[in-house]
Amino acid sequence: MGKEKIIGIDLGTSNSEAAVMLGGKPTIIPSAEGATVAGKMFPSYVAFTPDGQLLVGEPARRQAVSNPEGTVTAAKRKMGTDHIYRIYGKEYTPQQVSSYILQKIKRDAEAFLGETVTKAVITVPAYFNDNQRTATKDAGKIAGLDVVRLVNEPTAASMAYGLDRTGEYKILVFDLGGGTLDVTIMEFGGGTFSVLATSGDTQLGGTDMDAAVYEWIAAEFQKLEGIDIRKDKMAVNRVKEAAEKAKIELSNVIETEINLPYVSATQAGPKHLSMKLSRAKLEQLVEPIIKRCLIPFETALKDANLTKNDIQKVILVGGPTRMPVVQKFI
Amino acid sequence: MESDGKPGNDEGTMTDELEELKEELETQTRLAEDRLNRLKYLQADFDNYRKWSQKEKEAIIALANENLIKDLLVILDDFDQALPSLEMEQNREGMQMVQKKMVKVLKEYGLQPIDDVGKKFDPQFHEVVYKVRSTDEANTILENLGKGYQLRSKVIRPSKVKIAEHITDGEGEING
Repeated sequence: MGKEKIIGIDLGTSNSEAAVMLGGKPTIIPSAEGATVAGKMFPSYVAFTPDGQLLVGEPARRQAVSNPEGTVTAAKRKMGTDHIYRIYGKEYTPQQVSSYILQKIKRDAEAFLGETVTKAVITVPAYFNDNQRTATKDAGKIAGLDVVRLVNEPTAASMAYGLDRTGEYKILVFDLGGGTLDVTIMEFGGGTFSVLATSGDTQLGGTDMDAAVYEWIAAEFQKLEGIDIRKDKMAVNRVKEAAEKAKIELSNVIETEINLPYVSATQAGPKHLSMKLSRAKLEQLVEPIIKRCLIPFETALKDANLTKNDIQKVILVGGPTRMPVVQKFI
Repeated sequence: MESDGKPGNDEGTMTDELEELKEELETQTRLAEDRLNRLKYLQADFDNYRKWSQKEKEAIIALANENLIKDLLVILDDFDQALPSLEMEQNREGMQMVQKKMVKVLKEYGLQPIDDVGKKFDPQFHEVVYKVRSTDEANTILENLGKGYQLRSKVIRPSKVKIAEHITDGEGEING
């Protein structure tokens, strides 16, 4: 028998991910359902159906609209508190809810690796207090995992970029996800990381950018054709998907075409949506969102008593940080 | 010449040497054991990796076309949208033939649409976009707002559906 594998888990507010070292390389553990449209493996959703079924991850997300009273999201925000979820006559702590997500990850990791998994490293936000950290460990225990270590999320990101070897420097980790922004300033020296300041915005992320692109497409189409596609649920789905795809594409190309034939119809006949979106236009659309990133950025620097010139390394984490405009901003 | 009582010394030296050799042997045996154990671990790791790698290769072969097929789904959507709008029967028929041909090719690769309207909502296959009050049984799928597909047994895109809201139990409580 080889040494038992330890899996690394990013237990996120909206989505969770897991990875394992295989042949010396970190490998993402796929969920049984495969990646979602946005490329996420384990949406952090847990649902209890009225007939007693437990759903975790992508299936739970898919039914959230129809079963809001039985669906729990963002349990991470309640970790370490006395909050109790009351669902169909039963009570659940945030740790229990999180443990269902960890159990699902454990199960899918075992199926992927073909061996039992009992050990894990879980990442937590740098600002988590002792209660929140203990709650995360407890969630692991309930899920049947021995949590060998909790690692701060920005520390894990810095380690992934090899910043844990030599030298002494100040690092700024800018983690812009789908729905939240976390800014952390850390100091590395003598082999250890110490957190100097953290800041963030819990309501800021890539989904706001997708919404801005979607709104622009809808408004342009209304100007051109006089039809408000926001009222056509079928069209809304197609346009939203196209908006997100266009945003991702524009990280690599400077112009993209959005083509949705037969997107809608009037008495005069079918209507097609065909428009070009340039990177410059996208940057203009997301500018207000990017500007909002400035506040947590400045707050973190101020709290750490530093200026931007004191920072030697910047680590970018999260899908939206691949956008050239975000990189330029940093 | 006499050896002036040195045999004792010789014996002592030999004992020392023997002790040293014993220690050396122990050290080397321990080292050999350690290395053997490490080798066993590495061998097991390698065997596991080889098995995993083989499994992954099979998975890649089995689903090699998944990404391409996923990208082609938007074209199938376009067909679905376009067909009802085509007024001339001949045009519609022609377009339908092209659609059928494409569906047939993709079917050979294991693609199949997910049936839904009239069936009960199942989160393994469907995603609820919204629900409406209806006399139909709770959670019955009333309308398909985005066709879902599965590639062999794997759902590569869930259907987006409108479902019937459960209204028989005192209007149903919604607090989420």
